[in-house]
Amino acid sequence: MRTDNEEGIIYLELMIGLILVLAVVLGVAQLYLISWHRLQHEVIATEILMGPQEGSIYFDEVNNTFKKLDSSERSPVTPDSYLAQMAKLFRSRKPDESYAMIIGLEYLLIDPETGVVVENPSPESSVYIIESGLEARCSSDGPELENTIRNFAASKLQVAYDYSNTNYSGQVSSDAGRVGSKLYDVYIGEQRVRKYINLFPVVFFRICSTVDQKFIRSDVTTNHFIIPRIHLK
Amino acid sequence: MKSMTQNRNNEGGIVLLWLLFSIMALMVVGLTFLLYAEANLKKFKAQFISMNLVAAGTFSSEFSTDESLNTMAMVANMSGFNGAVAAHGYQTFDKANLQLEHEPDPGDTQGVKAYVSIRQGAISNLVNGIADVSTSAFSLSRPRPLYLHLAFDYSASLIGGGIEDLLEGFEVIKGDGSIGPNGVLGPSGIEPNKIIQTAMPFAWDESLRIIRPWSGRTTAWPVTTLDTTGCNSTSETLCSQYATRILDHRTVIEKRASDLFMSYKKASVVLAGVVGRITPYLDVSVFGGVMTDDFSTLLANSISSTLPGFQNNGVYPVHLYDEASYDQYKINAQGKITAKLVKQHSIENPKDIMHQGISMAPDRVLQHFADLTFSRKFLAYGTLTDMLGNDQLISRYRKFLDPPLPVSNPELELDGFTYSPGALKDGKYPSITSDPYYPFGWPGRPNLLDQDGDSHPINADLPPEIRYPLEYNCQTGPPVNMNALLSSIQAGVGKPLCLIYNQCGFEPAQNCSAVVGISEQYAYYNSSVPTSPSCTDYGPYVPRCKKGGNVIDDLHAVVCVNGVPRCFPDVSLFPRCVTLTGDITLNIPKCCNWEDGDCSGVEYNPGANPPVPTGHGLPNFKPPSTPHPTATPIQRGLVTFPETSPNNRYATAFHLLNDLSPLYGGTYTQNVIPNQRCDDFKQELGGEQPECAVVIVTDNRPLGIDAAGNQVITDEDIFNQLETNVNAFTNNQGKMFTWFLGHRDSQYEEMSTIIEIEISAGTINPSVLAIYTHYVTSELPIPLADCASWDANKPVGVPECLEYNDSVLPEYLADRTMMDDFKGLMDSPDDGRIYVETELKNTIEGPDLVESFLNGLSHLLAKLKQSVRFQK
Repeated sequence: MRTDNEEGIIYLELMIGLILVLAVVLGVAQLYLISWHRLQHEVIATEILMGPQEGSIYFDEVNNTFKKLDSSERSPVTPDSYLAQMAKLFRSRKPDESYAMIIGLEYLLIDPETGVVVENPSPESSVYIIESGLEARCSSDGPELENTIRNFAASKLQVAYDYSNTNYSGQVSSDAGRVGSKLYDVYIGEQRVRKYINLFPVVFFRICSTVDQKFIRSDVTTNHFIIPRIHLK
Repeated sequence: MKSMTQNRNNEGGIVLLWLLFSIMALMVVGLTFLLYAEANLKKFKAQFISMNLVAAGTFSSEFSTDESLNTMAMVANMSGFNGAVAAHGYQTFDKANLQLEHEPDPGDTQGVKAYVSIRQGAISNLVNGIADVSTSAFSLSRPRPLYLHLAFDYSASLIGGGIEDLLEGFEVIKGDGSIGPNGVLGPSGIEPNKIIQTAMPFAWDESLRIIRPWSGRTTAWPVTTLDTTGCNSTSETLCSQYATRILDHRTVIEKRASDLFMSYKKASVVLAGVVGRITPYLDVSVFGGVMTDDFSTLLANSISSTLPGFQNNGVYPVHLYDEASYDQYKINAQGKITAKLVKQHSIENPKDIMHQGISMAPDRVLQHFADLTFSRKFLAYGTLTDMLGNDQLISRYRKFLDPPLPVSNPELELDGFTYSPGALKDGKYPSITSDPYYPFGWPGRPNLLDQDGDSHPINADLPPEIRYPLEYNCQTGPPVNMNALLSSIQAGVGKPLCLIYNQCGFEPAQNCSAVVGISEQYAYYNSSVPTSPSCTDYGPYVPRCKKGGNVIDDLHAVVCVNGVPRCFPDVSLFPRCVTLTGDITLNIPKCCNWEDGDCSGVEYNPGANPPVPTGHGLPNFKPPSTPHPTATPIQRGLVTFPETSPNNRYATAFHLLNDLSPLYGGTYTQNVIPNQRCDDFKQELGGEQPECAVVIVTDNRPLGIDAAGNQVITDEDIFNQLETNVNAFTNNQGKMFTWFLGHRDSQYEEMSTIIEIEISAGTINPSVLAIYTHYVTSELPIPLADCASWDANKPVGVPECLEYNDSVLPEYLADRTMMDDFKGLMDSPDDGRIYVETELKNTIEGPDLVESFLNGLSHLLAKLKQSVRFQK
């Protein structure tokens, strides 16, 4: 004869089972949603890579040199305008209001004669913050986040610096370690003359979004960098 | 009871089991979903990384593979592929694989490629296999398609303006203008010594192989007029191709290798090598004025319909991305060149300027202007020894003439053009043509119909006039085999000597055109070894001159010069053997030694005949029986070439640009704007955001004159045409760069300089100074009342009053107005028109690229490249 205790255990086991089912469902759902958000981040990053871009450097005809975008009259766009174009694409592509992005334009400094990265990079961009995604941590941490993206940029630029300088042999005929965007390479008499653009732009950005469903809440953050498709227009 | 209890327990167990199975099923399903989602995430990551890699690699992809891979490897390291290297092939990492590739050659596979594969576990792979999700990605990118037209102005305005760089390059003068180790003081100032003069470009007349005196006349062949009618110093006017027969060496260098022109050519080669490589869709052309009708007729008469026709618009292609390439050239029964189409380049298969040879198609007019090749090869391969046997080591000057080639992988050969016409026989190169004056032979132009062959003349085949460069001037008299009595008979064999006599300024002057005039017995050269043209070997033929086609010319004589039959005075005519009824054979007359009694078996054979003979000495006016003096010609040393030659020296666009002479005629800048080409290009590649650009390298404003110097398009019309074309191009988003490399001083500026020097020296005549101050500096004509004073007292080199009023001043003002308009049109950055003003100096070490040149180059390149498109 079945006792009440036995029935109770069955019910208890049933409850535990259902809770387990619920936990598994919620856990899988959360992981899936986070993965989905990451996927969306990658999609947006790819679209930014392929999307409309202004020139990321400009040629100063007065001083005959390539320069970073700045606020001067000779600069075709300001850095903010440059980044705003990518931000505009981000806004049009973000799936919901929880998405936010922080973005900055940095430059590797290149020796125009050798094509090698010079100086230990120290990111200094004016960081552009997208004022959206109120639910996302990207927009709420302010200066701390700027430092985060700068640190991310610094770590990547350091890798580039190390790669270039470690491989560069200094030999005229060797191409190793020369990573700049080359303009020309000619023999003038016996001498081989190379010329590189003295800047190599890289855009760093961080995409944040919040998974916010019933019983599920999580912040998703990814870091990206792209090589601009257009250097000069 | 027990059974009921057992049943209940079983039911409870089943519930739990069911629950367990449900959870497991849920977990499996959930895990599958998660793995599927993760696979998709990795797929997108791989895609993103590979696209980033190729975007980075594309910016230097027109150069070496190594540097593209360098940049990609750097970005790969930044993306987490620690230790990625710049190498082809598969690279394996902890959780991913990577492959970087670069194909520099134009074509479907051209571009930068990256393959990224992110590895997964066995279960993940199983799930992904079922769902058919690949976690790898491949990307290909290349620069955005750009059609580029490089147009180089080689017009006649580049003639003259000084040869100081060349003299300095050959160490005739020093940098400060003082006499150099190879210089001597001569009648015209500092001149090259005779041995180095031979090593300088254009030492020989390329058609007749006669060595040119530095200044003054050669007596080896007479000029037709006493005064050269070279180019007017302000423009291309009066630059007729037949102005003179054999100019002095200095004049020829000024016409073909002036400092301005040499620097233009070097700049053109540098620009073609640097700018031209950024896109495979490239047209390279040279522009000047239109060809003469005679030239067009000559081409039409010599080229069959198997080859493209000639468009006489002042723009001459060097290299087209969609050109047809021909081979198997033959002469058909009508005497026209036929060829077989062997390759057609297209937008899918564009021609590679860096590594593929230029078209040798004979419709290419430019090959008729490739005059520098022999001089360049002489310095590269030849040896020049003086009369004591000392090697002059002339190869040390070769950089002055060699093209500044771009760095390329594989490296381009410094030399270009097949140059093997073979032995000269009967005054012609049998391997090239039956025409004895065909200029495509030593020391003239390379035979562009040959795609491969020897790169230089072999020693055994050198004509004696090249092996033994002997100069005959008015002191030495003509070579002894130019023997003939002075004759007053029009077209008679003595007429050349009559003209030589007169051109050397002997007194009394003779009237060479009069039917009767001089007495033959009182003026003669050497008649002891009579030589004359003969056709007796071929039957009942007589030597006559032939015009284009098969027209016999009776106004010119066939004479023998250095054992070779020539037409005098127009060397563009060809000696032929004709029947008395006027039929023309392909045979050319022989020069026979009549001392032997007949001509049979006596042919001009440079291997057997002695070298160029000694000179006559000065002409005599003595009875024929009186012995005449002979003079030794000026010996220029001994020229030798190696006995064997390297093979397969194809030529690129760089070599052709380097070896050309200035074109004659005007400057048809309005026709270089490639509107139609751009439209076609955009139509072909409409979906890929193609762009168009033109780079014009010029020295002067557009000028609508023909080859004879006649104005055929007014300044207003030519400018309107240019403006229309330019506006159409830039309104169609085309980018336009005008590369202004400086220009020669006008005659007005030259005369002002002369007068200013005299003013500074205090030697100027007061009346001239007054006229100069009141009128010339104010750019006003000189009043006729002052002309007499001006003409009587003006400094040497300053034009006379009427010339100043009628041509010098009006031309200067017109040029300046037109130049201002031209610059105003082309210098408009907001409209996509960039105007770069810079310079380049040619030196013994090659071109000296000054800062303004390099800055302009950087500016131009920066505007043209730096845009990436993804292919996949």
